Amino acid sequence: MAFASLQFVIFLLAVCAVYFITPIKARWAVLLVASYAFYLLSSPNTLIFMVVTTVATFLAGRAMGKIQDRYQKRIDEAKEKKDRETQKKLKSESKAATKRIVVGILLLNFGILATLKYFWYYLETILTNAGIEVPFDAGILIPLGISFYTFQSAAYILDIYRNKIRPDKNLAKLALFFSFFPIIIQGPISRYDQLAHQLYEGHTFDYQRIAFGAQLMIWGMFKKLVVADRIGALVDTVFDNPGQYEGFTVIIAVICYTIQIYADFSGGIDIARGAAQTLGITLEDNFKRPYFSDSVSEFWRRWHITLGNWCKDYIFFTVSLSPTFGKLGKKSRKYLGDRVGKLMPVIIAQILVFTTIGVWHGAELKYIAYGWYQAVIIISGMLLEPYLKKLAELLRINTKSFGWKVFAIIRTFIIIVIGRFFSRALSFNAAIGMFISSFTWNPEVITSGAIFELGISRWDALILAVSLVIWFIISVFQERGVEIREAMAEKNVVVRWAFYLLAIAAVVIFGAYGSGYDGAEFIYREF
Amino acid sequence: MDKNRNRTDERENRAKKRRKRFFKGVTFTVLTFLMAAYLITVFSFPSGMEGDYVKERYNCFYSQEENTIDGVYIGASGVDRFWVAPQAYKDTGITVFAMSSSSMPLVTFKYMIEEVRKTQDPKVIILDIRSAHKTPEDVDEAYVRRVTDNMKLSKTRQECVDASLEYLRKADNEIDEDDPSWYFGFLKYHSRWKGDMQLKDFIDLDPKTDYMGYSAHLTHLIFNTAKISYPPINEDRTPIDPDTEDVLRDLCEYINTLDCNVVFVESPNCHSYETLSKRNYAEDIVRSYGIDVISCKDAEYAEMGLDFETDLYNEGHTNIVGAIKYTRWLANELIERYDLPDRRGDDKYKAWESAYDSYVEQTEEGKAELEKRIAEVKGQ
Repeated sequence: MAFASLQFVIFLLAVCAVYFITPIKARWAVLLVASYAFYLLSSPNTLIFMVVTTVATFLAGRAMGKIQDRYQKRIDEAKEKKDRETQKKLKSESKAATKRIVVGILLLNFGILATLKYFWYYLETILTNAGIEVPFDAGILIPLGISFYTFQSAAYILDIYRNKIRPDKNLAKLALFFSFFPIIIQGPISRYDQLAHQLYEGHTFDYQRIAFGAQLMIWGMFKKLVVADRIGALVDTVFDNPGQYEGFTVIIAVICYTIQIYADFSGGIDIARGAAQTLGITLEDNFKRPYFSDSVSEFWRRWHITLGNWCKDYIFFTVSLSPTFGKLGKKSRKYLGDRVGKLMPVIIAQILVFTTIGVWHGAELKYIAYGWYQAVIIISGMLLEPYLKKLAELLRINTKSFGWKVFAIIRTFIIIVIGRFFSRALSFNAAIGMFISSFTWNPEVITSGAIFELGISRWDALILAVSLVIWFIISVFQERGVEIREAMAEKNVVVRWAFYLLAIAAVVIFGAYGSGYDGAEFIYREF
Repeated sequence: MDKNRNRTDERENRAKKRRKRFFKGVTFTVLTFLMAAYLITVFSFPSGMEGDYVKERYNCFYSQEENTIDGVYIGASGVDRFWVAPQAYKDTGITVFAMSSSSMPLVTFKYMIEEVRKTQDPKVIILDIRSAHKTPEDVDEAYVRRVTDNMKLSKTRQECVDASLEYLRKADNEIDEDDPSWYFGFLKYHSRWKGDMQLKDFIDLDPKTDYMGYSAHLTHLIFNTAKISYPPINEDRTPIDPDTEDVLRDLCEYINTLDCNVVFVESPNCHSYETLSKRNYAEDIVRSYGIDVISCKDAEYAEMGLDFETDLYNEGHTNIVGAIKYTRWLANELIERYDLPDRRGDDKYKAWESAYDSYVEQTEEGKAELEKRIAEVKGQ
């Protein structure tokens, strides 16, 4: 069931209706039933994998909790005796005991993810290349949201290991945390300590909150249906036929893809957050106007924020602050100098983070290349920072000026756009080929109107232009700290309602869905 | 005391706020539904020339008072270019509505009969047999949508869509039979905003023509004349497409369950020899079910006084002069065979009087011009 669909709206309305008439203590159960119903409607054949991950994670968490409780008792006794040595020893033993469970459950859950998302793909590729007919479609078995709930379950287990949270004693409630329907398709990747209590405690009916949630959903549908799905036609035409286009056509297509992926992803997140908000649940925002970033590092603090935070908390800090990599850093100083040696753990951590981000997107080489491209940019920035600073001073560039800020934003945008070749092209080779072909000088494709033969008409271009201007203006206000929904709520009711109704009308009329209408088909030719 | 009063005031304020919010919520929801209803009506099957005026014809039918139509003539353009309903009423008092759409597929006829009988009790149903020679490959998405997207939402419409899609699936075509817009047209027509909308689409939500189904608005066609060859004498039979034959047989079986008269008609045309042979075959099938067929051949052309050299604008369709001749002839046939009543002078049929007035206003001048040109051609 797609988010930006009438079916989802009807589904959500039904869930809200049942939720708010159910006694408050049982409302979490309504969400659980709704989430599993959503999963069965969307991906019934693969529900079993989510159930396995849920049950295994629950049992692992409970086992870890019992070990921690046992050791904690003894640690408390040692504390009373002021026996620091024993306390340290017991803490170490507790960590070691729970670590075995952590490793086991992570291997299991990521093993399922790796097998379903990656192994079958590679097997299909090898067999196809060897000329052997493949009797299965690798894509069929990929469970809905497997990356999201696997990463969520990993965070849950690691947070228990770090004594940040206590394990959940209720399997059904934990099942809800992993399967909550607004986040299962596109995230955001939520943390147990932030989301669980919201899911479990029932929420009262609040008109303003529901109105805000609905408004956010409409905004998300606007981005998805009016912008992303419309611009996608041009992107598909060019990227699905890599050898046929070059120069400005390719440049326009990759810029359009950069817009499309943002509109699609952030639109989906807005719909998810809006849907959750109607039920009284606040989800983390996953995007903070990433194309306003003035560096690639900042971009990754504004883009897919929850994935970035997950990688930061569970990969980056784990690696960069670990004693092993600390020793490596010290050794590296001998050969690479103080500065670089000190950065070595961070550099390795970045490589691991962006390899994860690349692999998160998919199994193909192009996604890994996408991740490494980002890593190279960020690491280069880190290594060259002092030199670039000196250069700026030499050239008397005021890096705090507005002009520099604009330059930095455009520069970052171009870097990000180049990276998009890898994530959208059909393959790594196609990405390289398209990047090289984009250097062909052919501005006539713009002036001749050939662009309008690539899947979007002049009308589509007009609507896209207007939509992007509206989106840009709203983003500027948001960047300045203006809360748009709250600001609208202050306006006169007639103005407000006219705006909301126009927004709904714009989505349903201008949304790029349905079979499309061509007047020429309907003119009766057989006079 | 003050504390209690404050608490009561607070409770009352909260209750007031809740009532206000409830009222606001309901009002906004109602406004949203009204807007949705308006948009669904506006962004629907096109009206005017683009939609071949089918929407206007259907709306005209639906606006008729119940049980004021004694006959309905169902079919493709072999109906609405030929049957001048207001003229038939003026001449004989019979009320026979031309319920047609261009290239109306045979598979939709059964459902059109059902649809018509919901609000009317026709004494005779006339069916255009000219669609019987076609195959599933010949049927376009637009041909089906002209029928289904202009029918009112009902089980009949849904069944018509289902049957049409089943028929279309037998052909190797590019039509997406799983497209949900077959059932909910807005999914298709919302993209008419790309240059296909006019101001009238937003204002006139119930466009109608007033000619009881006759295509009097097609002035660029009905006032023209072309020299067409006289159709060959053809008694041959060529089998029709097996899927279409199944549809025809199913239609005949359905007709035999009805408690009204039904007759198949082939209106004058000079289509290909093979097409005419196929129609002969189809007529035999219809007769085998005991259903009447009126096939226009030489004798009939002579009776109606139809001149192929002046009374048609192409090999398949009469101009207004030819249509009037055909109408007068068929009207007499229908009265003789089925004893259709004369409704002139009955107040209940005022709409037919005004339809005639509109028809005359629309066609008087053009008809006179055409008659002049025909006279000149004949004079030569």
